[in-house]
Amino acid sequence: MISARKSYIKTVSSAQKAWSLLNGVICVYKPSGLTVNQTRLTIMSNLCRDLNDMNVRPARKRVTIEPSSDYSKYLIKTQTDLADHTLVVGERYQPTDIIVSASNHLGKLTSGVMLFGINKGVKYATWLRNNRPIRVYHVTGKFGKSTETHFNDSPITAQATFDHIHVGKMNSLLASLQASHQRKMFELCGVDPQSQAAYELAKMGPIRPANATIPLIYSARCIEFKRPYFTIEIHACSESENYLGILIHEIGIDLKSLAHCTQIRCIRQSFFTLEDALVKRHWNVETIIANMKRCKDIMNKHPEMLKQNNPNLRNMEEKNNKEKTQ
Amino acid sequence: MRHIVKLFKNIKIINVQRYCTSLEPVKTTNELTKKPDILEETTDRELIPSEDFPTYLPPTFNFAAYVNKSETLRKFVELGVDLSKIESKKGLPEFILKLDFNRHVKRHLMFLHDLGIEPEKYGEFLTKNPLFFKNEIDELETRVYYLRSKKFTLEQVQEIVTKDPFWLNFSTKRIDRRLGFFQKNFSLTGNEVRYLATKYPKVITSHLMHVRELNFCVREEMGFDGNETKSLLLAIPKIFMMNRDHVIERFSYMFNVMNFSKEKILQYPQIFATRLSRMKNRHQFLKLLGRDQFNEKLPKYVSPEAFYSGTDEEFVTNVCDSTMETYDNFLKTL
Repeated sequence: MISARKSYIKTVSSAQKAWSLLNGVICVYKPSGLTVNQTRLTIMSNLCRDLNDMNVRPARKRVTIEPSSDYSKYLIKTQTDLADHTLVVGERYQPTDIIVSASNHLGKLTSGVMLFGINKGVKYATWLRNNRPIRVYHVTGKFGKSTETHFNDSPITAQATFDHIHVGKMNSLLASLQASHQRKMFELCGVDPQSQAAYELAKMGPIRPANATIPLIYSARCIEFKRPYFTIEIHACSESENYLGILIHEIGIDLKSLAHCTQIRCIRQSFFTLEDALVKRHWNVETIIANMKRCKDIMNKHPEMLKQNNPNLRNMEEKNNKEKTQ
Repeated sequence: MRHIVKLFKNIKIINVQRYCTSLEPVKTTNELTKKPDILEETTDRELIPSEDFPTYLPPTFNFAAYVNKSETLRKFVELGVDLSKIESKKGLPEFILKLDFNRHVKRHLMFLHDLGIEPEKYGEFLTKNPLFFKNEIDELETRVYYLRSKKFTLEQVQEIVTKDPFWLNFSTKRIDRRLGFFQKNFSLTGNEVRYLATKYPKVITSHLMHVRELNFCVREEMGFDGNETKSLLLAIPKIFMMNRDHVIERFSYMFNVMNFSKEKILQYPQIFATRLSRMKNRHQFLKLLGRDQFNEKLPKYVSPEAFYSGTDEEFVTNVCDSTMETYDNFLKTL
């Protein structure tokens, strides 16, 4: 696949051509420890660096009318317009020229799949955000200690034993958590859970909240349990880093112990998975343009990611079922 | 040198329309056909024909409006000075626009030429230090004589000036105080001071508060003794200008997580110049492969050099015997 990318790019050596291709949505893997804005600025400066290394537009010509040495006639000459020289006006492509906007927000400590809209792709990024995509997280926690911010980079506030916790307890807690959130979904949808309307909705599968501010958990299950560490997979919507931290803290308390969060990793955002994401080493023009094509294909395949006409998540369910059968 | 010759040729055949940067018409059609004498004061001014009067220019935000009209700016572009960078700094555009090439610039370029700086480097030098023209030539010469009197060789002086264009803006007293500071605080010998100043002149002209802070950090927080601090300073002076938190983070990862002894860190001081994320990624990948073996007496030893030298590709293929695909997939689990 990498060779295919290279051959695609060989045809683009002029910066203007590459610039015209830089419109779309890209999917990157944000490492933890980097804020969204730092990621954004890195992408912007990398793009500028690469574009300026390509064949950029030469300085314009300007016509000058000058008297000859004896002032008898005028000489008309064309010469390079210094006012358009890169040393005077700066590099041809500058970070301020590129619009890069994040489609979803991941906190500084979170790593994972992130979508960015570039130039004309910003509107798609906004649509993706407004459609409240489901994100899948792998959240790792550690039993025994609670910290001030519920993450492992802050002072420890309390300690507790955790020998009594086992997978069964953990699973039952997560199941009840999931059930209570499903109930909440119907309330947020504005229907009485006891009504016919709710029944009709429920028949079609999980539903999307109308309000983006309240976090919702669609599914939570424990995928790894090695005391004191545990990892849970969470399918959630409109959640935040803080919310997940508090969730791990509360799981610890509900299991009659304490816990804090050691890692949060977003492994999927609607149909964009880890395989589509670019690691930091690949944040350059070539791979970004190739990635735009890939993201465009995904969006074409699932147009409901951009424009919703249905409150339920049927397509997501179908995909999940397929995965399960595979 | 070729550059300079070209420059002087340009001055001779300069076209009639020649303006001072302050956009006053200046004489010199006849003057310029003569061999330019840099020491001669230009006093007499004759008006040039009316079509050569400068056009009215409204206030502008950048040099682009002036550059086609101003000989000085044109020369700067020919030298390779990045005017767009100078423009972004407060007060500098006004200063640069008031310069006249013959009166304010030429002698300074001659000075650099006499010092033996290659003409290709003038552009970078002046981009970084446009205030160089504020210094009197005598002062600049004194500053070079000072270095020569302190037994710096000519090559060393050239290296200092190229690596740190700001050095010549510092008065002799100030440089002397700073060299003394380093000699006293790190107990350096004369040769070592010269070595340090040549290797990384920026550390001498940087804010000494940083150096004091990092000196404390290296001695008290990391626990290196006087001699060790000195060898760190001479090996990698850059860390004495870095953010203290970053240096401490790197050290604590090396010392506490990778279990490198202080001797080993001193043996490979370059590792301090490596980003923590890079060090972490590589270390954790080695750990995953079960190859984090840093004891040179046992087989499959991995040198600390692996953390700072080479690209990711080289690291993965040569040190880890793995593929880039595996490494990328690993990075996506962090």
